[in-house]
Amino acid sequence: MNTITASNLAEMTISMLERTAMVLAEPVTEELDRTEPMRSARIRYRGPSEGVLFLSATDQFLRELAASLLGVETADVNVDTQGSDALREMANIVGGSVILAMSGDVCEYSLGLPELVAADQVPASAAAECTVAADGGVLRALWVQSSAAQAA
Amino acid sequence: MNCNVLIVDDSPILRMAIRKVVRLSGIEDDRIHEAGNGREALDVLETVWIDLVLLDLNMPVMDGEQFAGELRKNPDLNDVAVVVVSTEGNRDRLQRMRDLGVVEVLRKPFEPEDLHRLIPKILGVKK
Repeated sequence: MNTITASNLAEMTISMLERTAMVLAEPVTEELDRTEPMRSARIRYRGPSEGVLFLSATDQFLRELAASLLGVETADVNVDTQGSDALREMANIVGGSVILAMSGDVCEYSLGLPELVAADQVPASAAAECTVAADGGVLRALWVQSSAAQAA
Repeated sequence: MNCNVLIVDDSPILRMAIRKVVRLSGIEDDRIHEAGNGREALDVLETVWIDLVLLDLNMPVMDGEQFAGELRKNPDLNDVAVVVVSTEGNRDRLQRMRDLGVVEVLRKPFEPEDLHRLIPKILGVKK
């Protein structure tokens, strides 16, 4: 099993945003303002090991992301519904990239369904984490490897 | 293009994004149908002739694999072209989908152009 580093998590996240939504994001290296409200989603995976990928994003980021996916103006985006849906789907897509990166040639991992979670369910730190920014908004990804044991 | 396309995905925003690309491929908007899971997709297929299904795999209620299984059991529907559009990377599951007759797998993340190229290819092959 390959491990996930902050660097390749950032690469996968940036690639996902560019390929799926044509959102051009850049890695953020400075410390985040942790007081800024964010919406969060997670997706679990299982296979030779188990874990969770979390994505958290500011409303500004989600507005830009949803607007780009839909081809509409940011002012026309409902961030509660469309922004949250975009966040869930992005968790799904980055999760898919993570399990492929972990697998090498043969993928034996499976993903669960992405779901929205409250901020207090997102860990403060993780085995790998990255933050990217685009259009004044911020997206944070955390990879949590919860078990090295063989999954049932 | 006089073809009907069914987009099956539990994410409304992704269905809308895919619909946009399908339209750009020359399919008229009223020929593009949507379903949020496999069960809803089977309901659509009972009422509309569909030429191409763009199918997500991980969905609540009825997932893409169950849907493809139901489709193949139905002699009226088992020649409908199905393309998987999913994050799925599990080798065994993708092989099961091919065994169920899936003609192509488009892995997310994909560029709109990837889907734009695929649609006429699949519909052309089908003709």
